Amino acid sequence: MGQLLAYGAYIPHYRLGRTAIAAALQAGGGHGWRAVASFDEDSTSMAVEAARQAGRRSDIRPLATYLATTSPAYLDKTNACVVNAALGLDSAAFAMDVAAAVRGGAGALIAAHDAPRPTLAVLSDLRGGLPGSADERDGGDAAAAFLFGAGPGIAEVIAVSSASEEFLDRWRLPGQPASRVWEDRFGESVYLPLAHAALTDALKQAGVGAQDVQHAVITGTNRRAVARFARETGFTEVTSDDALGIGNAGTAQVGLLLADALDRAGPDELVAVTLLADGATTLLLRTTPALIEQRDASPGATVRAQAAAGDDGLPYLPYLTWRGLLTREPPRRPEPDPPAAPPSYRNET
Amino acid sequence: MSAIPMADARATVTTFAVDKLAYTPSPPLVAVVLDFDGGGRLRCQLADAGPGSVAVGDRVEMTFRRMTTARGIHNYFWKGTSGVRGEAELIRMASRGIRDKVAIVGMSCTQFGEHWDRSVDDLLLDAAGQALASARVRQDDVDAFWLGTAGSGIAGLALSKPLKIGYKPVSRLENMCATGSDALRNACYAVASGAVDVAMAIGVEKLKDSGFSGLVVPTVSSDGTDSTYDLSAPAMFSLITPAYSAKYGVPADELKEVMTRIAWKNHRNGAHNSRAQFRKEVSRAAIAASPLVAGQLGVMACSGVSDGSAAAIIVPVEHAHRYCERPLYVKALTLVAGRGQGLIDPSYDFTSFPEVVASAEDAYRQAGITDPPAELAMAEVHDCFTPTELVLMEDLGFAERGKGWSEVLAGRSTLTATCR
Repeated sequence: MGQLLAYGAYIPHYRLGRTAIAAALQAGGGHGWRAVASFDEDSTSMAVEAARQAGRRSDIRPLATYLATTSPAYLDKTNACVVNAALGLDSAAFAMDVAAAVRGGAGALIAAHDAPRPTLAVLSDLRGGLPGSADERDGGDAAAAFLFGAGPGIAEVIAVSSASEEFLDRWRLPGQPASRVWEDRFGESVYLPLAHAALTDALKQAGVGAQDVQHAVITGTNRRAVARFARETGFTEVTSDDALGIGNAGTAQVGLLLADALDRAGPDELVAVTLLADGATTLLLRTTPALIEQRDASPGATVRAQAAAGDDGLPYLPYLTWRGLLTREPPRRPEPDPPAAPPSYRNET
Repeated sequence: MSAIPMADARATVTTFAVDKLAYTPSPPLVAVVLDFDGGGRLRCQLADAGPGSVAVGDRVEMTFRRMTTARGIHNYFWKGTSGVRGEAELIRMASRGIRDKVAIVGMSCTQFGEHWDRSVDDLLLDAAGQALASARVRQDDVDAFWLGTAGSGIAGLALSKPLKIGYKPVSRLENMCATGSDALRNACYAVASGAVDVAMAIGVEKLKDSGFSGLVVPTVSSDGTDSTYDLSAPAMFSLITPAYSAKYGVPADELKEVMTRIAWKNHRNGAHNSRAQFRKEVSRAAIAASPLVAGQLGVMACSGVSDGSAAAIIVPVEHAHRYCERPLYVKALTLVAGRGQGLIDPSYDFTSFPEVVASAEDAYRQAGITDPPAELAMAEVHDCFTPTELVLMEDLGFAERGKGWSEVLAGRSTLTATCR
C-alpha cells in the first residue's frame, strides 16, 4: 500500500461559454464555461499531459500505469501503452486501461494505492451530450494523474470505504454519443443512504469526525445527489464541480478536485474525497509537510490557475465540429495517411 | 547515436507558416520551425494557435497531441505550444561536365493549361510527334528515351505503350520539381558518353486529373510523423518570408510588395507566351488583394498547377548539322541533391537554398561563366512561389546576398531590364 508521491492535472486551452450554446440554439441557459479539448486532443493525449506534470514533481518512475476514462481512444488496444511510450517508460512498466464507467476514476486511485509497486493512476475524460443537453452544458474535458508508491510521500491514504448498488441512474450503449439518465430524484434517493454509509465508515476507520476534515470534495454522475449530499455532510469546506468552473470532466473530475484540494492544503491536513457513481466511494487522505516542499519546488500551474487561463471565446460551431457532431466540407486535399505499424514501432523511443 | 528526450525542452520560433490549404480538421494549419535551447531543431505544428498569434522569436514548449485519425488509426505526436547561414558544403565531386558535347536539335512543348479533354497519352503523342518533326527524325531513329513524370506515369511503359516504341530502352525518372531537367540531363549524358546517337528526353504531367488543390506528394508507409507531408507546398515556401524579413530588416508589407512585383512581372511575361497557361497581364493591386493561401502568399503569388508535355531530341554535337541549322548547344547540366536537413539543422536560416548555390557554382564552372549577370541574357527559373524567385536571384548570383528584394523593387528582373 503506497503513499501519494506526486500529482498533476491538465485542463485544455479552450472554453465554451454556456451563453454561446444558448445563443446558437436559441434555447437553454446557464452562465459560465465548460472546458473543451482541442480537435487534436483526446483522453490519451490529455492523460499524457497530466502524467508529465506529475512526473516533473517526482523522480520515482512508475512500474505500472492505470488509465481510467469513459472515452477511450481505442478499444481492444491498450491506451495506457501510448501514455507509457510518451513518458519514456520501458517495457518493465505495466499498462492497463480502466475503461467505460466514471466509477473507474476512484477505482484507479484505489488500485494504484493498493499496488505493491510504484503505480501511476491517470484519470482522463471528455464529457458532453447531444446538442442542447444538460450533459453538453455541464460536461468538461480534463485529466489528472496520481503517482503512488512507497513513502515518504506528500499524502497518506488513511481510509477507503465504499457502498455499491445496482440501479439505473445513468447509462450509455457503446457507440452512442451521449448518456441517458433516469429522473434525477430517483437516483438521489438511492445515492444518499449509500453516500452516508461510505462516509461514516471511512471516518470511523480513520477515527476522526467530519469536522476534523479540512478539505472535502464531492462529485459524481448525478448532480442533484451530489448537491444534496454536500449540504448534509457536516464538513467545514466542501468543494464541488462548480468551484472549478470548467464543467464536470467525468472520470477525471474526482482526480481534478483532489488535485485542487492538494494545491491548497496545508501540511498534516485531512482531505476527504467522495465519488457518487453507481454507489458511493470515499477516500480519506492526510497530507504531509513534504506536500508543501514539493509545491514550492515544482513548476507547473495549479488546477485553479489552469481553469482560469485559456481561451474563452470558442464559438459553438467549432465545438460541434471538433466533437464530430457537425460534418464540415473538407478542403480539396488528400486525406492524411495513417501511420504504418512497423515504422511507428521502429521510431518509438 | 543516442536518443535524448526533448519533451521538456524549451524552444524559440525561427520561422513559421500559416497554411490555409493543407488538410486539417481546424484550418488554418500553423507550422513552426523550433530551435531548442541547447541545440536541436524541429519543424512541427503549433497547437492551440490562431493565425495571428505566432512571431519569430516566440518561446514555445512541447505538448502531446493526436495529429490525425485516418482510416481508424490514431497518429500521436508532439506539437509546439504559446542562426548563421549554413554554407553549402561543397563536396569535391568529380564533375567534369559535357560542355559542347551534345546539342538539342528539335524541341516541342504543348500548351500549358487545364486539359480536361486530353489524356497523358494524348499529350505525350503530341509532344513526341512535334519534337521528332522539329528535328526531322523518325521515331525509329531514336536510340533511347528518358521520360520524366512525377505522378502521371509509372515505368517506361508509360511512354512505350502510347508511342508504340519498338523494344528500345525507356527510363522513367522522378526528382520532384527537377524531374524534367533531370530527364534532359540523363539523356544528354547518354549521348555524351557515346552509348547512343539519338536520345529523346520527354516530360508529361496531368496535375489536374487528381482533383486536389495544389501539388500532392506521393507518400510511402511511415510512422506518420514525417513533417514533409502535413504542410502544403505554398506553406513550406512561405517559411522563407518571415525569416528573410527578420534577417534583412525588410518590413512585412514591403516584402509583400516585392512578392507582388515578381508575380506581376511573370504574368506580363506569360502574356507574351502563346504556350503559357495564364496569358493576361494582371495588375499589382489585383495580385496584392488575391485571397491568402499561406502566410502572406495569396493565390496569385503561387504558380498554378497545370497539364502539359514537352520533348527534346539530343544528338552528339558533331552530328547536329544534319538535323537543324541552329542547334542549341548544351554547356552545363548539374543536379545537387541535398540532405534535407534544413528542418533539423539550426544553422539553416531559410533565406537561401544551399543546393541551388552549389548547383549554380558547378554549372557556371562547367560552362566557364564567371560573371553570371553580365554573361547570361535570360534565366528561366522555378518560381513555384514568389519568395522562391526572390531567393533564386541571390542564389544564382543575379543579386547580392540580402539585396534581391531591392533589385526587384528597382525593376531589375523584368523583360526589358539589363542586369549590368
